[in-house]
Amino acid sequence: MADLKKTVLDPLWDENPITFTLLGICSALAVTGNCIPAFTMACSLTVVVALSNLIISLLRNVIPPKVEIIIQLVVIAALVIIADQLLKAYMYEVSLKLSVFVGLIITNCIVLGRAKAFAMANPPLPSFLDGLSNGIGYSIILMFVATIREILGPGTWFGINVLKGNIADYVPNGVMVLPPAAFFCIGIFIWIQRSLSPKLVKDD
Amino acid sequence: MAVNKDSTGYIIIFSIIVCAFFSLALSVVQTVVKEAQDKNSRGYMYFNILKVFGVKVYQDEAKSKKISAEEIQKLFKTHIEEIMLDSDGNVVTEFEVKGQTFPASFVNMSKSMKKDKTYKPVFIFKNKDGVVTQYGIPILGNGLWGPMWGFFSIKADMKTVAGITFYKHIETPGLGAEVDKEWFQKQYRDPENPKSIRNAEGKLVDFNLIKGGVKAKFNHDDPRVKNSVDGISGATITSVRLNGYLNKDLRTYEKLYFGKLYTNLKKEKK
Repeated sequence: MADLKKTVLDPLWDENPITFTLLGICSALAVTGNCIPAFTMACSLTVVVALSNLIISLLRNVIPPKVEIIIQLVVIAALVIIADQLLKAYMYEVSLKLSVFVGLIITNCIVLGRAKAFAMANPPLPSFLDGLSNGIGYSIILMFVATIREILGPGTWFGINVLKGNIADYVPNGVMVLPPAAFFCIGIFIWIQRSLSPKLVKDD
Repeated sequence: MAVNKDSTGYIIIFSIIVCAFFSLALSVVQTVVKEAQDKNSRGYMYFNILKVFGVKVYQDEAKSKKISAEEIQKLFKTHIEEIMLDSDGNVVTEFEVKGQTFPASFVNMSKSMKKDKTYKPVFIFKNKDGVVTQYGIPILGNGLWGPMWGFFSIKADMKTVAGITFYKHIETPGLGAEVDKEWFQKQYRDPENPKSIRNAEGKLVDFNLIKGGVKAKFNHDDPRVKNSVDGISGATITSVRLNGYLNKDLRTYEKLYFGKLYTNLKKEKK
């Protein structure tokens, strides 16, 4: 039980995929300009990584070691395509904004990383939870960055006016609108995290 | 029963089963969502046809919220007349597939723009009094990463450019994908700086994106200023290819339709 708890809690803070293992940075930079696409991306990735962990864990004893990665990629690619197709059918506006980034979930190191590191060695239930947890850990950072960037950038949050409209002559912050701002936000988050949990700091 | 997981036979059979299973799963999903997807992409195409004609398609000034799908349908029905040109330039209003008739917006654009023997759609915009004010055509060609689908419109004087939009492409965000941005598309419909597809003699000339910007390349009194807009920094190939297919499509339509209308217009004036 203790193990299961660790599986669920670790990826949220101590081993957060973005701030601790620094995986999945690319999409964290690209889709965090606005909260709505960021939230959709976070949900898509969480579903994909949870299901891919589950499926790969179910197959873990029958996958031939020689083609292990290829089989994992087939599973992940299929899930990503399904997620992309569903978005195009039922959330068309958001899918236009996310453009290629949903398809690029397949290259997100979190998915393959969790499949290789966890799902190949653990039973289905813990693997599913591990995927879910990692997805949520990723989502937390994504929403943190998107919230800062959207409020300070265009001055809105989930499209609702926050600074814009309430402060006269609000000028959108150009830096926050552009992807590099996500670097600052993630950097600041890592700083806060390491200050709160000093054990994460590696001493060289 | 021990199976040797490293044997070639096992690997092949296992791979085939996994691939077959996921192919089947993808086909099922694709079949289920196809209708919803088609409806979305058709709506988005109508949206872009209206947009290329300068119809107000956003709810607010910031252009963040689109008008509803029903409104798009309604505006499209009231303002747009769809026609097609056959390979001899004759005007056709409908085409038939398996006993059903379809208007121009159902033409398979990728077939239509690549081959000469198929129908070429033209979208005619009428203002609220029913007067024809603009003509729109689909444009299609390869950008850097893949095909770019869009629309281009000219005014009823058959020379002034009225707008450009893209509704499907996979160009790089921040570089080639700038074709979607307001600063780029605005150049095509700037009332203070109107662009033309013809030269002073009324002959169709190449309409080009200029690397480095129009102002840097031509003097302000150069006639070519009228036939040029600023290119996109960092997206030279997208710009060059856009020049290529836009001009090719314009020449095709000039031969089939625009040329005749322009000549008639000139005759009427005399």
